[in-house]
Amino acid sequence: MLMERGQKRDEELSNEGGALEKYLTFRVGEEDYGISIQHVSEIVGLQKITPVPDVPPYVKGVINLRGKIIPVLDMRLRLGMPERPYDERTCIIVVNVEGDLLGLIVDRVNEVTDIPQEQIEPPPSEEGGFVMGLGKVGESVKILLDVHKILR
Amino acid sequence: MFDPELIKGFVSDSLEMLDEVEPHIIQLQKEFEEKGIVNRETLNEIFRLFHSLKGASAFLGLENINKVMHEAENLLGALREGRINILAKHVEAILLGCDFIRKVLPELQEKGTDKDFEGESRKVIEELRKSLREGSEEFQEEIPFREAPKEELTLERASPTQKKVKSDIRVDLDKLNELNDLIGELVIAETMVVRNPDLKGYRFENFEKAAHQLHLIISSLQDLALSLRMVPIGGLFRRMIRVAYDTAKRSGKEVELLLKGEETEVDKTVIEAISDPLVHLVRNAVDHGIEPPMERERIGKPRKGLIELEARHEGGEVLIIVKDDGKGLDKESILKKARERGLIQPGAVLPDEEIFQLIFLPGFSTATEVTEISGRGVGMDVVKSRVEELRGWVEVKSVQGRGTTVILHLPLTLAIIDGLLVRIGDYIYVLPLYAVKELFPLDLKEVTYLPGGKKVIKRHGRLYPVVSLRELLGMRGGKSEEEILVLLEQKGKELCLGVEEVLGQRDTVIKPLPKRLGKIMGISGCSILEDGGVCLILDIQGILERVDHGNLKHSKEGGEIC
Repeated sequence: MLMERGQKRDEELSNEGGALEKYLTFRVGEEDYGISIQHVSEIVGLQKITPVPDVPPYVKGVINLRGKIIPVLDMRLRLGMPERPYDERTCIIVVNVEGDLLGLIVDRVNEVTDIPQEQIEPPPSEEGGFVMGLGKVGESVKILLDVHKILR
Repeated sequence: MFDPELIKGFVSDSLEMLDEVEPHIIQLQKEFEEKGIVNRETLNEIFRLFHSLKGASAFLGLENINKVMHEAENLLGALREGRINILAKHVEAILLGCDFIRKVLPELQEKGTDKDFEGESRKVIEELRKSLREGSEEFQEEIPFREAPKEELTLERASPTQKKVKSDIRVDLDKLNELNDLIGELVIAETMVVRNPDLKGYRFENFEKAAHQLHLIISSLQDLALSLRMVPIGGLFRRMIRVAYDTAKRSGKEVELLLKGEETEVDKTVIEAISDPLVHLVRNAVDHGIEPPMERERIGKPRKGLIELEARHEGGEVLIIVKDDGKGLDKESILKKARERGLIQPGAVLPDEEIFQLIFLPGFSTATEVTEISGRGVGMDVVKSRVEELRGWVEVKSVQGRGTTVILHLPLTLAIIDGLLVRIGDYIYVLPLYAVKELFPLDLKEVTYLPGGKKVIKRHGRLYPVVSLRELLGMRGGKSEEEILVLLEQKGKELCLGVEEVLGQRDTVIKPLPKRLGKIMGISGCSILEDGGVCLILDIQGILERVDHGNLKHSKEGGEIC
C-alpha cells in the first residue's frame, strides 16, 4: 500500500503535478484551512503592524519584511469571525500572489500536508467566495483557499 | 522582426543622438550667420551621429528611417564638402528629419517596425532634397542610395576622433531601488547590532570604535546608492535650445539661449517630470517675455533677447532658473485680469510676490495663450502643480521693462523627503517639512466648536480649521489626546493638524505603499524607522482633500477677526 502510494507520487511529480498537491495547513477559529504551498513564501512571527486608513477592516495594515512593505490581513476577520487577541502561536504566513507579497495572520500554523486531487471536492455551489475546494485528509476536512481572491 | 531588446536599444540611442545633434545644428547655423564660419568639427560630429544612426537603422531593416537618414546625410555631406553654404532652410530641413525620427520612435518601440511611415518619410525626403537642390548653385546629381557597410560603422565608432569616451552603463531602475532597499535594511541591522539589548550596561571601547567605523561606511554607501539616481541636467537643457529656436522662429523673435550649470546633477525622475514644465517656461519667455527685435532696438536693448537657463544646488535644493531680459510682468494688467475673473477681492492690496503668483492660478491664462501651447496641455498652473507634486515650489521675480525670472525650487531627490516625525498613539507619521509653517501647543480656550462638530482655532488674529490627525485617518480605538498643533500650508490652503507629540525632523527614505492597497487619499508612501517599524508619509494635498470631503468649511484666507 505504502509502496503503491510512493510510486504514484513519483509519477505525479514527473508530470509536474506533484507540487500542486502540497498544502500548508493552518487553523483559524475552529476549522483547518490550507493554501497551496507554491504560493507560500515564508512564515514569520507576529510583529508591530502599522495601520493604514481607508482599507477594509480585515486589512490590519503594513509590515516591513526585510525592506519590503507588505500588507497584512487578519484571517479571522476575513473569514467573518470575531477578532481575538493575538497570542504566542499567532503567525503571519507570507504568500506570493502574482509577484506581490501578502501577510495572512492566522491563529496557528499546522503542517504541510499532501492532499491528492481526487480527495478534493468542490465547495458547495452557492459559496462563491475564495474557497477553492474541500480537501479530505483522513477524518478531517481542510478548507482550501484561493490566495488570488483573498485581497481584492 | 528583430529582438525587442535591439529595437529598445536603437530607440534610446536615437533619442540620445537627437538630443545631441539638434543643438549642434542650431549652433552651426548661428555661427555661420554671425561670423561667416562653419565649424568643421561640429559639422563632422553631426555627420558622424547621422551616419551611425543610418547604419543602425539599415541593420535593423528600418527602411523609412534609413532613407531619411541617407537623405539628411547627403545634405550634410554637401555642407561638409563646402559645395553649399549653410542656410536657415538647411537647418530646418535637417530638423524636420529629426522630428520625423522622434515621431517614428514611439511606434517603433511598440510595433518593432517603421513601415507605417512611408508616406511621411517621402515628404521629409522631398524637403531634404529640395533644400539641397536650392542650396547648390550647380545642381548636383543625386548621390546613389547605398547601404552602409557594417565595417564602416564599427570603424566610425572606434575612430580616435570620437571625443567622448562613454564609460557609463544602463542600469534597471528596479535594481537601483532594490539596492536602496538593501542598504535601508543594513542601516536597521546596524542599529540592531550596535544597540543590541545584550550590550546594555557594558562599555566596550574597541567595539564602539569598530561600530563607529561601520556607521561611517554604511552612511557613505547610502549616499552613494542615492547618487546613482542622479544625472546631469545638461541633456534636458540642450533640448531647450531647439524649443527656443522653434518658438523664436514662429513668433518672429530673435533669441539667444545661454545655458549655465549643465553639469548639475538631479534625480532622474525629477528630470523627467520637469521636462514639460520647462518647455512651457522657455516658450513663455520667448513668446511673452522677449519683445520683437524692432521694439527692442527702439527702447535701446540689443536686438537679440537673452534667455538664461541655469541649474545649481543651493541649500539642499536644486534651483532651475529661467531668466529673460524681456518686458517683464505687468502688475496692473495681472491685477485687472485677476479681478475680472474673480480670483481676488476688488479692493485687495497684494505684495508684488503674491501678484506674480496669480499667473499660476488655474484659469488665469488667456484664450490665446491656450492655443499657443496647444498639444501640450501645459499652462502655468500645470507648471506649478507639477513642481508641487515633486514637493518643490515656484518663485517669480520680475521688473517691468527689465525681464522676468522664474525659479523652480526642487528637492535633490524624490527618494528622500525632509520630514517632520509626529506621533499618534503608538504610531509615527511623517509630514513633509516644506508644508509645515508653525508648531504650537493646543490651547482649548482658543478653539471654537462649530455646529456639525467642526473646529476652528484663533491664532495671531486669524482663524484656522483644526482637525485631529487621528480622526482624519479614522484610526480605530484609542482616544484623541492631541497636545500639539502643526500649521500646514499648501497652495494657499491652511490647516492645523492635531498630533500628540512632535518627535523631530528627519530625512526619510520614501517607499511606495503596496500596490494592492490602491491609492489612499492623504498617504503618499511609507518609510522604515530605525527599529524596523513602518511609518506612513502624509501627503498634504490629500490631507486637505480629506478635510474637504468631510465637508469641513473654512475660508481660503483664514479670515480676519474684528
